[in-house]
Amino acid sequence: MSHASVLFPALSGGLYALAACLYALQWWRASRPLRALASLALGAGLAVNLLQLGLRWVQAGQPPFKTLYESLLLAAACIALVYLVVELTYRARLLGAPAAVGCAVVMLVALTRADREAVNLPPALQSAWFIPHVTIYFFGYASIFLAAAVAAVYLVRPRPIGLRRPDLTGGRPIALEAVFDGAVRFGFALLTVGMLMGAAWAKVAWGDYWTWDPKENWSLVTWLVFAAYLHLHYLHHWRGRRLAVLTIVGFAALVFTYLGMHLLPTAAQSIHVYQ
Amino acid sequence: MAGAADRASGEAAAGGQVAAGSGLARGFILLAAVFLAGNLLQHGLGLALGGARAWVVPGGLVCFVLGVAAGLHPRLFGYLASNRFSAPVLLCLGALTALGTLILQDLAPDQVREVYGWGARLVLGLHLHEVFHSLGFTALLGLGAAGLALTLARRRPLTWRRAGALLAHLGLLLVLAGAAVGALWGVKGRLELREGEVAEHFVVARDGRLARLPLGFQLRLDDFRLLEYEPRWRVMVFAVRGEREERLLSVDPAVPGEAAALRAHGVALLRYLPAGLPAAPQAPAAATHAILVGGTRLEVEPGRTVELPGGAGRLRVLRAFHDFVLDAATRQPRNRSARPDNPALEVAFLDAQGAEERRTWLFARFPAFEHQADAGAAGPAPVALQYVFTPPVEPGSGQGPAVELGLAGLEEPVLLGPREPLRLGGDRVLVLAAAGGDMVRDYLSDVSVLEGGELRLRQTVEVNHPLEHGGLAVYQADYRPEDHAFSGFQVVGDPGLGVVYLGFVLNLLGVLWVVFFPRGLPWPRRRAAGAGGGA
Repeated sequence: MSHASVLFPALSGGLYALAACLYALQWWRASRPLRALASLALGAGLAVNLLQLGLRWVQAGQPPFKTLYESLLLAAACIALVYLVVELTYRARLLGAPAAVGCAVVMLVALTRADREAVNLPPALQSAWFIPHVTIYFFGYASIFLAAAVAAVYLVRPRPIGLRRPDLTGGRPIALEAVFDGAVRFGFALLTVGMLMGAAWAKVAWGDYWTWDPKENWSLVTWLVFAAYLHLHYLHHWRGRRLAVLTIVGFAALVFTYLGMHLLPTAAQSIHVYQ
Repeated sequence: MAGAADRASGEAAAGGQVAAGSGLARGFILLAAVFLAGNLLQHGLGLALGGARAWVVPGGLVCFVLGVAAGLHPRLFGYLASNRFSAPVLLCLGALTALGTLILQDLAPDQVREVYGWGARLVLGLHLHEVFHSLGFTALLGLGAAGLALTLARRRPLTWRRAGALLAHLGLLLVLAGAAVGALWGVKGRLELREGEVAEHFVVARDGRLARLPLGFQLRLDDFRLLEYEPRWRVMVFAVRGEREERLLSVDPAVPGEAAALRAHGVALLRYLPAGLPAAPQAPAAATHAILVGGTRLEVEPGRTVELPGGAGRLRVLRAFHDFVLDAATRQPRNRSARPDNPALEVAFLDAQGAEERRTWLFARFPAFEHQADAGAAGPAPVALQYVFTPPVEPGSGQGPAVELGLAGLEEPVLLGPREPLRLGGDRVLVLAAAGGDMVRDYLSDVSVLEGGELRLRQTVEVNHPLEHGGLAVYQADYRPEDHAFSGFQVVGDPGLGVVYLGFVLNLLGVLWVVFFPRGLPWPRRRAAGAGGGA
């Protein structure tokens, strides 16, 4: 497992980076081989990524979601999977570059935090809730990441995309606001499922569904920001740029929830902080 | 995904065509005022909202008052049930929740002043050191609950989309209501048992005092089991810088290819001995006891009398315990566990006629500590004694594995057992250790539920598998590493739990409904579209 913990993310990260370049090239020049190569590179990166997760699962005999390194592997796979589903469903390749860049960056971070050993699961994590709670949350994270990426593009270029490049958008112009709005809604639904599952699990494990643990609190903060987004969306003047900014703010809260807990002065009170 | 039509119906459906910007600002001002008023009231009344009950009453009161006021005032009703009010509530609750993680919670005022210096006045003034139990936060929760209730009470045509939103809001309201019921009428306490013990009560903390409450049945701990992971031994190299340890390398000594990486640190793995160190020729079969007096080592054992050097008198060894503890009930010493965690020796100083002058306890782990065993002669012992305990050596059985290492610059190989750090030079340290962090795989309590002396139920309680009986749930909470017969439980009675779970389900259904099927289920739509096309 020791060499694999570096080789696999290096390989999948390289493939994701290649896919990012190929997808980005399509913004300037599109061709059928370029499109196929981009999808192939992303698919190959995802395959290596999933293979590593699978091998780690088999070798350790437990789901590989415990350490920061393992969760980064899962995060990259979720971003790639969510994007590929969007590409296959809508035939739109607009999000390919930001998705692949996200995967490559996550893999780069994973390389700096490579674990050689799987960490033993404590008793509380040996539960049927563990796998759905974590994976649903990470699919939610992936959706919100894609939403924030599109929102950032929207802030720079708010016009609909694809009027001249139907190959990027599945043959029809796409309003970026509708894209990030849809991704936010999908992500919010998954964050809701993940949070309620976590609360129900905590009740079964410890007798309390909410303990004001810092990680619980920040997942609530993220949820509240996106719940506010959904309510603000119905106000006439809360469109476009304001919602894009709120999406990015929500994504920043989400990244802090995921990676920033050790920075909090209350981190010692949390059982969720990655070591 | 919401389309243009959903947006167009937006604010009109949400509660009127009032200028939305001013509505949001008004919401933030109202919330800030309520938060400050809550804090002022808490200071004025000198309230300390420690218990869960404390937040329910003021929060419920705010919710009730607002509900009544809104019922009497249609414009207030429309505003409180609108998105212009709910969005600021959500954002303010989010901001306060974030503050509660940025500022240390549940500190005493003196500690707050010590930690935050000049900022302490602001922290204490706004109760940010106990934000989740402050009247300001509670009042905001009450406002949120009032908004939810008024949203549900609003008279609007029940469209498909609105039905999903109502379900989501009803779910949240039920979660808050269920939590309030649990806080008002629920109980949470602690129960500690040792194997064979039976409990009829558990202990709860109320108003700063401990109280015993009846379980309503008898709970007996039949057996407690601590399960550990099979150790995965690794040779690890760490860089130790101050208090920080950075792991540079971890190799499996059983895999020759991996051990080659140790050469980069000037170490060669010569042999891996998974069964442990080779047997020593005179390995003792049982523990040995010795007492150091000055520079003299005296081998002793219980029942034996030895002459102290220098004519200092005689010493009789009375009793030996490998894991000494004073029983709380009997005040008699006993062994706490089977492991040699706290070796102790009781000795008596004898006079020339063989009569006892004084007794004392010697502790191998605490050489400076000497406990007088009886109420006889007081004062210091005639000579300084140090107890040396040597545990039994059983090669290859339970002592862990070992590695034989060749070090650069050393001719003789080095034998290294588990958890014995070897300094490599510079800031690097090599150690043979089990990988994977905490080795505890599970801890389980086999318990019996008795009623009137009759066995009703037998169950294994473990984390994620509580015992539920008589309206109470008994959770496996903790254990004592040094006492494998002890088990700690949390006992919870929560009459609001069913309402909370119902709220979870309804909120989940509502959110999924609104997000995935904002314009109805896909199959009736397709059927309708097909029928329309045919016509």
